[in-house]
Amino acid sequence: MSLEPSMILAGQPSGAGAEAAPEGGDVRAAGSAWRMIGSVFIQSRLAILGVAIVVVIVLFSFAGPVFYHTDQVHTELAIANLSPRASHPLGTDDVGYDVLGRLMVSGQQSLTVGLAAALLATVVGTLWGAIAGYVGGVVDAIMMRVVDSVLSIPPLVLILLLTAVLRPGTTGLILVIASYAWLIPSRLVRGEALTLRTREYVQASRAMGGRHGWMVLRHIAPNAVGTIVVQATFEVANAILLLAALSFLGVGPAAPSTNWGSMLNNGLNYMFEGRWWLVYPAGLAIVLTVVAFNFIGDALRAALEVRLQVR
Amino acid sequence: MTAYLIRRVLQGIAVVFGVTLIVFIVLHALPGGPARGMLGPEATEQQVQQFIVANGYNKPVWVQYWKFLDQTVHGNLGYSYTNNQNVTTLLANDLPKTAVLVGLAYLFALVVAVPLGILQALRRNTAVDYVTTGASFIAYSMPTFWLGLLLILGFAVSWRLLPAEGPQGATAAAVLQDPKAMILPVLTLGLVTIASFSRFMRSSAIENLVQDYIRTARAMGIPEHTVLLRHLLRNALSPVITLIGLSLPVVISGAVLTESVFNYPGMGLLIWNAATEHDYPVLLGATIVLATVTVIGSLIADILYAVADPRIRYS
Repeated sequence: MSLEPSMILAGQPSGAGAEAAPEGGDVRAAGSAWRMIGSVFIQSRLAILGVAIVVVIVLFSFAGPVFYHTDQVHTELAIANLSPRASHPLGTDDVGYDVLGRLMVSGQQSLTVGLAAALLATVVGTLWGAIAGYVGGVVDAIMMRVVDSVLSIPPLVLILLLTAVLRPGTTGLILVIASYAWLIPSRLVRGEALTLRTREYVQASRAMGGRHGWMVLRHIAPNAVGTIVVQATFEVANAILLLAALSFLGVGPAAPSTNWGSMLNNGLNYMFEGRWWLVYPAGLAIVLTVVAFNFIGDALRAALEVRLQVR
Repeated sequence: MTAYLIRRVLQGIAVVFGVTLIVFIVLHALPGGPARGMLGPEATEQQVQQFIVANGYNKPVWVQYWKFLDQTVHGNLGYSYTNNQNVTTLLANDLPKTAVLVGLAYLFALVVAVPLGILQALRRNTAVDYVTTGASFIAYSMPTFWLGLLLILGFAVSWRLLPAEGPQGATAAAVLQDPKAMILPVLTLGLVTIASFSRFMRSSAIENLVQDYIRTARAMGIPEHTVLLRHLLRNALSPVITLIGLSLPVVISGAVLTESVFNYPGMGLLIWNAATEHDYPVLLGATIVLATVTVIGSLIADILYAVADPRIRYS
């Protein structure tokens, strides 16, 4: 798994690590802030590339099997270990599964778990951080020490521990990955909440008798939405990497379910026999997907920074 | 400075305390309860009962936690029946070897990433910047274990230059006796780290390059290399100290994967084996030890940062 720059920033005492200001002179706001974020996002070629890659990979994984029929249920040893050829463009593995077809089916789990874990983590992290930052004081201190405590455990060690204890299925695994992924969003949102709660409109809403729950849900969380969305994108990339790592280590979801990481776990056994088609395609699929989500996250963050500058 | 130090140390203690609480909760979530979980499926009912009484698991929860905390603080992390050894002994054996791997990877990453980041900042928005930034973007999205596999395929299988397996020495000193086998593991863990470090270094350098002190130094006619080495490097480097501390959990995770790929006999391999064999005492002990290591690491980094940059102390 990779190190997240936003993760580092979340713990930075100063803004020392923030990306430098985008160059290009004056940017004048035309219309709403959201429209501008959209236009900056679209101007970023990397963002478009990222979105395009994600769309292609989603179509490949979910619509691909409709057009490219392969048997991913029954093993067929007669056609095992074939190198790439016309009938099997990416060869077959040790039990006769077509690698290209397997790549599609595996993608379904990698993408589903990645997206679900990131979504769950973002919701939990946002609420946790918004409440901590809004309430402040002892509650904030305790809530953030909980975050610090979990965060001090190396992510893979925490997740290996939880998988060993809970022996989760695919749904359980989403929870296990989310158990780490919510931490950074909660830190970031808490930081935003600390400044948001002192704003006049929040004070005014309080003075008019707004309830605390209303404050958090209506005023704090929505105003931190930029930060939340950017971080959620990175969390998808991280969750896909974590699932791949777990499956590579052989403690991911049990067979017959498969993902790109478990394909690599299998490929590892045949690497020294030169069966490169069991190592390259699955790894490339992971890298492409993760790069794409990181591109999107980076572009969104840059777009958001432009908005803040115009303000 | 003293107040800052005290506050940071207290925070660190609170965090380690929190980790022991988390581990204690997981201990109670073990399949079959804490005693069965720690003793494994082979233990007889009588042994389980003895364990329950000896460790106070028949007492109220807070008494149990107190006893658990007392044992942990005194270095008693339980007994691994899978390895037939004390968990503390196991960890004490393997931690130095992981420290060697992680230390060398950090060193390699810093030596490459710092000049690279400054180069990217100086040549920003040129071909050099785009190519290196693109490369680090890809390296940084790459699963550690896959990078390891690629390096093995290239250097060990195809070109037969380096061994596919890490050094197999029993101690940290023995591991260092086999530098050739050390190269690929360090390269794997280092490359992933370089990717994020150079991105950080690039933005830190860009931020400093536009500062007045750089302009003043240049206007005074100080040679460019002196400006870069004496003025820019010193200022751009200090946030990197914090980065080292903060990246520890992620780099240790990378070490677990690297050790698994290269069969490197460190703590990561121990943890991986423990996870597949459901050896809970090792997993729980390793969690406490590694969390403590990362807390101490980031504490040291913060203190060094405050020493290097006085602005931090007073804010």
